[in-house]
Amino acid sequence: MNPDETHIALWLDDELSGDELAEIDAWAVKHPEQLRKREDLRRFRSQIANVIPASEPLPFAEFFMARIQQGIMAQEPSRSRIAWKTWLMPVAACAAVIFAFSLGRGTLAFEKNQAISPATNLYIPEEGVSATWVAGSKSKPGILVLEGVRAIPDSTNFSETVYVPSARESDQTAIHQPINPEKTEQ
Amino acid sequence: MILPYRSFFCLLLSALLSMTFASAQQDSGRTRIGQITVRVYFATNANPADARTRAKEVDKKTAAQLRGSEHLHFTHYRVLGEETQEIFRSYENWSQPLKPSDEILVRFEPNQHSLSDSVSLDLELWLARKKILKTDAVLHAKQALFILGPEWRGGRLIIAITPIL
Repeated sequence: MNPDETHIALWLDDELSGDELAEIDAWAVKHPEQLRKREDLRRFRSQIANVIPASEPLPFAEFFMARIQQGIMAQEPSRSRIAWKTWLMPVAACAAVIFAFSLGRGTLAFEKNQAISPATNLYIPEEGVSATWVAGSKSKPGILVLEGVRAIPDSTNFSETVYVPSARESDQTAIHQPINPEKTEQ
Repeated sequence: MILPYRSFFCLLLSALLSMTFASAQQDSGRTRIGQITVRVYFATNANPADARTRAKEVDKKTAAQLRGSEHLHFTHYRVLGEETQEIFRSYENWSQPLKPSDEILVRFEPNQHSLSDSVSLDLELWLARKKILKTDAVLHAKQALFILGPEWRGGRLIIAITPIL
């Protein structure tokens, strides 16, 4: 009959007595490794008992936690050595904000002296249409060349109705509101 | 007469709320930061009379500027239409340079704070009520952006977008 692990553990710690002890002693005869294990544990307990007096309780979890905490405190640097960080960090944060602000202003000044910048984003939703950007400068205009766009039918007549303002009229702000194709039903 | 403590703070709170309400009525997004002129040219190497258009001939300076670019080099140029619209700080606007036709529309909206001599715009070109192109560009004052557009009656339409800041 094989004992369960709980009884084996109690037998190893010499916690059993009576019939239970006799039963597992008989089982252990056929398992010499268990006998060796029990002897090792008895030798270990004897060594502990020689170091720690019987009147004192054996170490348990709180003891070990306290020893760990003492070890951490022994390794922690003193407060006086890191006190400078408490005032340096807000100063460093302010300096970083000032630096970032100055960097931004420098970027604006740089853009002011730039020629017409190339288009950074080109989106062509219509299939078959392509666009090429030809960068300009202060003396040359920027050009977007569209290819593949559907031709306007020749029957479309702009000249009959288009309004070409005179030189004086073109100086005035337009008052007509254009049609928004997104809102117009097709 | 000294106001009671509670009445004084009620009055002060009312004044603060009124100031906040009044400032909220002013929509800074509608602030005008400039204007944009969209002009449509008809460019052709053939006889412009064949296009049966009564559009005006462009001035020599503009013609020279257009011919200076290999992409815009044509023999003849005509102005088909033009419109000037406001650039609002935080709102989009549309230009319909060939009104009443909506064959060509340009949508624009600032995408960054403008400087005194340039403006960064989100631009959309709509042809025949379809969005053909969306792009962003920094435009300098009185410096046009040209778009070589669709073919029409043996030539091509060129859309010129010029900011007035």
